[in-house]
Amino acid sequence: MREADFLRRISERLGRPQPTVPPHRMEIGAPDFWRNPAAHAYAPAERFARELEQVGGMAVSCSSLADLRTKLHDLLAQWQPRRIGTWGGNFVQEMGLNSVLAPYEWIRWGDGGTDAFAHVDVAITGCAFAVAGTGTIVMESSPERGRSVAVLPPVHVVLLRTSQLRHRMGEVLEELAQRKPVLPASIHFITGPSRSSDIENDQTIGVHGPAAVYVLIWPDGAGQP
Amino acid sequence: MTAQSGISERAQSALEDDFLRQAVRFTADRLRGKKQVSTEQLGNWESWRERGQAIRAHTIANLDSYLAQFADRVRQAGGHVHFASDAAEAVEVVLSIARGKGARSVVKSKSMVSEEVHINHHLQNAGIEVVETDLGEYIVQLANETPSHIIIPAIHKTRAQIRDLFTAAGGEQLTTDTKTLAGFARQRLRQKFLAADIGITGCNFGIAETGTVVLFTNEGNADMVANLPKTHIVLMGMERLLPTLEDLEVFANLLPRSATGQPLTAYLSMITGPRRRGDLDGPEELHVVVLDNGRSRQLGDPHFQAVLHCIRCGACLNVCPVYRQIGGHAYGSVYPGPIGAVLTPLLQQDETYADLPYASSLCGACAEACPVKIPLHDMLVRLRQRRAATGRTPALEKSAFHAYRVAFANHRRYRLAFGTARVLQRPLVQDGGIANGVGPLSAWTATRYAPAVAPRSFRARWGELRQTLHGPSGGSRTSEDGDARRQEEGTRDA
Ligand code: SF4
Repeated sequence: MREADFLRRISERLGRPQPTVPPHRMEIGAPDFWRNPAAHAYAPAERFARELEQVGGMAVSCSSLADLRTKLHDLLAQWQPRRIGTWGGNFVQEMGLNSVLAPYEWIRWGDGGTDAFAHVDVAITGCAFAVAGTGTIVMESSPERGRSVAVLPPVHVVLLRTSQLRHRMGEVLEELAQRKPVLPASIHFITGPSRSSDIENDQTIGVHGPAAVYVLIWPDGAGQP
Repeated sequence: MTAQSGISERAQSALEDDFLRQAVRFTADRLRGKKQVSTEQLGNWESWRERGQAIRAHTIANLDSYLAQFADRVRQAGGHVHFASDAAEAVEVVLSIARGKGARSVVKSKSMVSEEVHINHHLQNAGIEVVETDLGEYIVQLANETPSHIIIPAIHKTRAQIRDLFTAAGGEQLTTDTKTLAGFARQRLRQKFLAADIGITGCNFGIAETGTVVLFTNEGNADMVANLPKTHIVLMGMERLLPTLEDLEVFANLLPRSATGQPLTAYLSMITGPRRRGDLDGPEELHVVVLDNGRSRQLGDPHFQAVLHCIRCGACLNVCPVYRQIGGHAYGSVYPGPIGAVLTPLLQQDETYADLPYASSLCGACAEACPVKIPLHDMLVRLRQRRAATGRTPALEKSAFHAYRVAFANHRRYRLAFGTARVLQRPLVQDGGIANGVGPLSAWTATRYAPAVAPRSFRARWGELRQTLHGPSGGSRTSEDGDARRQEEGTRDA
């Protein structure tokens, strides 16, 4: 059906001509009490950790970037992954992870097709935001930050700066709404590991996406945890 | 006169299936319990519902405007938009895209609209392999069945049955433990994702201001369906819009809590157009198919326009005493439960599903549970009236229904009627169903299969249920409820 006819049918059913100006609105987004910062009077880093653990993820608090590297080193030593995959571009250099990754086979996003990531055991990425109230991390796609990095491997390690923490999802959505002219092609809110209750209501994790989500949080000075 | 959709026959066989009945009830209870906890934790649930209702009502009342904006934004982001007035047109759009790509295989994530247009059937007829990738849907597909719950499609399958299905699909030496079974599905479906030509998903919400398609999932399969194949097709009902990104926060609070009792699903994916220049993954082409299929007929109807506010959470199923007894398949329609009993005969206005509105006790629990406050029970009554007004209701049913409604119209009488029924039915109960009713119920059961009245009647549990829904301070407990409970205990002792 032609778009014009489709839309005209809707207008006719609604019993008025097709509008030429945007509809007037009174109630947009969350109720006022929820927008009030007083409703979210908690330390975001602690709350984030608690919520993430509630849904089966792990939060690791780090005192500095150096501490983060040590903790990441220890985690990897424990897991002994056959292959690690990271974001592309300068991510590994910026985070100073070269020596942490050196003992392992590792690839960056872009060092091969998506298929290369099908055999990655551990993905290491940053994120764009995190939502403390639900233990959620937010990923945005770009040429160096493929969508598949966070979804294909069984373990996902996220490096989160405290300045990226927000209390509630609405704050992230408001910031995203400012992006012009278009949003990133993929924005992904991830809350804990992949899960399903489809077999006799028995919860199982890692059905398609990662079975383990580790978030290493470090204070970057730009915001207080 | 036989039931058009055959609901009475299927309800009969559902009642005979013990596992099904237990599974449905267990699942419904579990989801309902989790919903209660998560809504209490959030707090102000009524305010959230009111805001949700207001946003949905505004959107639907201005659907032409928002749909036009949404389509513009999708195109601005590089996607294509198709408008389908009915299922046949939607199918043709999908088939022509598939033909154009020379597609041989399609991966899908759970979508009720794709069930509505029977896309799998049509793709398979065109020689294209279709693989459902949601774990529950995959199980249902291997069994050659349809989903029995809109959130948990395979609740009617036991783990032994699932093992057998997976073994038939090539699994070797599978045990029945959840990990093994899920592991097989993960591995098998991973190959399918990477090899598929087209991915098809539904759409929980379309954001008008940005042209974004929003998906709420738990397994991560929708992301693979959307990201890995070269072409992504989104099937969406035309009413599935929200005006702005900010509005999404409201529904991110309402939908997962109402559906599964989670504060948020594991994945909330926002897709705006196909892959961008330089991207290594994501679809090269994004097609959004907007489906009417009877929806626009509800617009402008003072009684039924609100059915388009539905966000497909399934909360009304989980509280429905009829659904809990007979399960999803008995409805014979794509959408089961109270929402299905309203929506199905509205979307398809012939005789096929005209009997579905009778698959309800009109207790109102559905409307109480609905996160966007759709008056489902009022709609059910109106649909019955509408049908009665056309004179198509047989005389027998009319009188039975009349007696039923009189009983429901008055709490006290309802209680008495069911109290009586409970005593009288005792010798007649077989496998949890009433073979032949007695008294005012007998005419009803002659053509419909009446679910057995629960050992403690629904009315007696009503007080508890109200508490469940409103919290202890709901103030809806009346002395009548207390009476009912005492009377109930007496009956049980007798
Ligand atoms: S009618 Fe309400 S409760 Fe039922 S599925 Fe729709 S939104 Fe959910």
